[in-house]
Formats: sequence, structure tokens, C-alpha cells
Amino acid sequence: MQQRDFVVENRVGLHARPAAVCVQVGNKFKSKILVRRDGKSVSAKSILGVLSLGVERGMRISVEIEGEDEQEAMKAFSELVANRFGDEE
Amino acid sequence: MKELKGIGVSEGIVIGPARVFENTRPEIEEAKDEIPCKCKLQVLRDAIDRTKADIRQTYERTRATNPKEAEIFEAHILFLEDPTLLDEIGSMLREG
Repeated sequence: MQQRDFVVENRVGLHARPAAVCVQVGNKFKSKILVRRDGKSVSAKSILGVLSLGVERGMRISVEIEGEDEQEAMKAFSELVANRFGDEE
Repeated sequence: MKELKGIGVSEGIVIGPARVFENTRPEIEEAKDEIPCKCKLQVLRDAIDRTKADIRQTYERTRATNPKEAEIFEAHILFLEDPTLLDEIGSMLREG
């Protein structure tokens, strides 16, 4: 199992568009990917789940990945957070 | 004359008949139809496929002129594919 904490730096947090990018990246992997915030955990492959976390800028999230491609998936997620989920601002 | 205060949505002054705004929840009786439960999942899947095809068309049309704005339709499609929602609907249908 891979586990890492990230701080979301997007100006507007995880609203619909960054959440969609998160799900699109999550769907590329077979592993089970969980995103956790404040004790609530959801699948990174569910846009409703990711939005329901209500992640705003500066919040800490924890990503847990388990499965055959967990290493590649964690690498992709690290890049995703670093790229601010494709948000330009 | 009674004066009401609120938050303005659009600028300007309008004169006309006043309407009473009531915020009541509609009463929903148990929804019944003739479709057997075991077929409903298929009906739902077909509806989702049609809606997705519709959104894809809008996406393609918008992308031609506004590629950045068009990206939001990808999110709309993901809502329709959301496993959390589909699993929930599926298990409710299995329970009848």
C-alpha cells in the first residue's frame, strides 16, 4: 500500500473541473485509490465523492493507493497535485 | 406601502404586479410505473447512454470555439459514470 499526504494549492480547491481531472487520472489505474480528508474517505474514481470532500485551497488530503499499479498511480497523483489538477490560475 | 429588503440580482427598477414567494416542499407520493425492477437498470443504462451522447455532442460543438470552457462537459459525463451513484442505484433496485 502507498500512502502520501498532499496540500492542495489550487486557487479554488477541488471544484468540478479539478475533481474531473482527478477522476480521469484515477480511472487510468486498476488500483483502489482513496482520498481522505478530516476522517472522510472517498474513491478518487468518483467525482461525487471527490466533490463531497469539499477540499479548499491549503487543505491537506491523504491519498491511499492499493493494487498492482499502486506505484505508478502514486507517481501520477503526485504530479497531478504539483500541476494543481490542471488549473491554470 | 410595504417595503421589502433583499439582495439584488440584476440592476434596475421594475414595476409590476407582486407575486408571493412560498418555499414549500412538493409532496411526493410513491412513484409507480409498469417497468419491472429487473428491467429498470437497463432502462437507466440506456438513458445514461443517450444523455452521454447528447453531452458529447455539446462538448464537441463548444470545443470548436471555446476549448477551455468545453472541458466542464467532461465533468458532466463523469457524473453520469460515477460508480458511487450507480452502485447505490443498483443496490436500491435489487432490493426493489
